[in-house]
Amino acid sequence: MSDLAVAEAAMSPEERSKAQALEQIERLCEEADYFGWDVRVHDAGDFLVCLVRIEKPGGRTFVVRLECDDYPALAPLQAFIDPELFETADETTEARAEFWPQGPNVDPGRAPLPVICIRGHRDYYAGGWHDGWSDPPTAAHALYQHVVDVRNAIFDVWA
Amino acid sequence: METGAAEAAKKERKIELKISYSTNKKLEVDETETIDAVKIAAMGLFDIGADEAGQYILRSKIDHEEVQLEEAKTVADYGLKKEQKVILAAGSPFGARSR
Repeated sequence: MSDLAVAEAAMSPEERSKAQALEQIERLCEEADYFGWDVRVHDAGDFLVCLVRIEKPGGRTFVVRLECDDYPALAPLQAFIDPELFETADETTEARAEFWPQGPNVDPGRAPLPVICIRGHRDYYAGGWHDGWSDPPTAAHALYQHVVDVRNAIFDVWA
Repeated sequence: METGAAEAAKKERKIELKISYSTNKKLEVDETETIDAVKIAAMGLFDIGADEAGQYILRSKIDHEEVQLEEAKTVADYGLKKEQKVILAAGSPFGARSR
């Protein structure tokens, strides 16, 4: 058994989940210069919360929150929160519909809060709406790619 | 048989791009290659079959502005430089509605 495998075997499920989420979040940080987003990570104890601030050129600023509890067994739970709270937000910060982007492929009536039709977040797969989530997720469904797709939708389509 | 000068000229036309998808991977391309050919090669780096080419696009920053690269144009048309970051992205970020 390799050193890495030994180290992973010694991890609790929560630690393993946090390590795998962190790997994706670190990718977001590495690409911040190109994509122009800001990334924060909050340690909620058993899981990580990733916050990404995305400013649409000439438009609104959005903050996407991804709660990575039991990642990657579960897709992250996604919400949009008040962009003014980016620096202090955590898993308890209230998400409200007014902070969601507006435009196509944003379903306002599927859940108490809007749901965006982009791969890689929990509500996308909920109730059999879509399939494709796996553990580990394929590149197209992983947390990093989800944020890239959200950013591209904000830049190209949403307001 | 190619002359030394011809070989050198051919070598000069090769550049290495940084293709970004789930991670960054290097891709050597010829300046005369079309963006379409680059895209298919880039997809291959990530084990995405060429039959899915219609679902993907390439984006990069040209004169500090991010644009979708037109597939009929060439690497030279865009003046892509050595180690320039090129993003492989879904043509539409949205998933198909299965229900």
